[in-house]
Amino acid sequence: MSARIWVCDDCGRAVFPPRLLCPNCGSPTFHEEAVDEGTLEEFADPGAGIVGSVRVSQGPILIVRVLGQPRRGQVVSLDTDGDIPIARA
Amino acid sequence: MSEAVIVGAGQVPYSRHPPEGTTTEAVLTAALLRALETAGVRIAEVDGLGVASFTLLPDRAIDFAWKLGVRPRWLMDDSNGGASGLQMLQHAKRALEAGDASTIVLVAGDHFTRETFKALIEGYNRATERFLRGIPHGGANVLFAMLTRQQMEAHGLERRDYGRIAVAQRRWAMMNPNAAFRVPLTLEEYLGSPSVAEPLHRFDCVPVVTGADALVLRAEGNGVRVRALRALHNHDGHEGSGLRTGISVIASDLWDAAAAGPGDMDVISVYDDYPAMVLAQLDELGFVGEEGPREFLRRLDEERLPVNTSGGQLSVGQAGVTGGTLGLVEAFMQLTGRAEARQIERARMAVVTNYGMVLYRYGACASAAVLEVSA
Repeated sequence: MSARIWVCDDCGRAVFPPRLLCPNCGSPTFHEEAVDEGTLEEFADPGAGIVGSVRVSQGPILIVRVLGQPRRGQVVSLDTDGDIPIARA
Repeated sequence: MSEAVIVGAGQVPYSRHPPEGTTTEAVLTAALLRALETAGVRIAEVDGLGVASFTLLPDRAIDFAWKLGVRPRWLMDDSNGGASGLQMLQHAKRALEAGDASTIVLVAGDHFTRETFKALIEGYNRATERFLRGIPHGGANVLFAMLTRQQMEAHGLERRDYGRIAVAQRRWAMMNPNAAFRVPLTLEEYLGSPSVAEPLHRFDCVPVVTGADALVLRAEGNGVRVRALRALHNHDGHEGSGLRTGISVIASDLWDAAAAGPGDMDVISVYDDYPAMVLAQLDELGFVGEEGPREFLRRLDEERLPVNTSGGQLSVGQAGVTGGTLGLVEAFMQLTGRAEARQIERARMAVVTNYGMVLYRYGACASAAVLEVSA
């Protein structure tokens, strides 16, 4: 039960979505890391379900499908539905 | 050393419900012909062509040149959406000054069907296809709803503050025969309009329309010159909050290069996909001073500041890529005395911004130009 981010093999910079070269050091190689939770910074409901932005401790901000009753600033657990990150409030 | 001049501009009225049988290539052609007419230039004289359009595909600039009977020595396809106007201007100006072409026409426009618009939104780029489409996000509105809320929190703003932008721009649009929305808009109507994604409601979001813009440029002549143009794309690696655009990085260099400042601008065209981004760019350009955003927005409305005097995308509409050219065409019209009922007295200088290309969470492109009448 986690989402995935990409981390530069050389300098450790974390990115999401994935890049081709590390924006910090230019390295072309990354490894995937699981990330289990993050902070739900914002959310909005366009009518088809709540969409949120979650900042994970490694730095990147993920756009997520939000399940549950969200509150801004709360720690949410992360999952994926295929490639789509999911946050459970 | 020659200096490029915008000698003509044309615009097809933007329409929510274009006639049956409308095509992208027809609206682009119509805008091009209007621009040539204002410039007093014949199609046979055109030896440079730049085209920006989401919906001209599978045709490209070369197809358009072929079908127009144009034989360009300089040719450009631009695919940068709302940043395409200044992108093409940046390249066209250099081409003319280097002698690569003598008469360049830049065209931008789109005509969507429900299907082609949906396809554009859902297949905008790989990041969208892979990580946004299935959420479902339904387009950029939800992203900018979140951004707007962050901006409201940061500056203590309320919906009624942003309403000033929508209401003020509608006031200008009422004097623009090319605008899709020309009925008065009150703050009450703005506040009470249907919700799109809180805090954004109907009048915070640009209407999708069919339309096209065109500009004619030459290496000399009367019209509008570019005092300075700066661009910075992907300024923060898409690792920021989105509340600061690339304009924040280029603004001081832009003003230095232009040997002018915000106070010298008679006309201000900022890319208005959402009121929050209008505010962000105006602040980054230096128009919001000590007074702070709430008071600035009050003055924008009540003092009728010359911001988005066409009515902006919020009232004229967004014909796909035309977000990048709408403000540029308006600046040309104002600076050459062609703005009719909207005319700003003694308009001599304008600043125009472009923004756009929402790669994942916010726009990655940003550029700005300072223009001056050249006669």
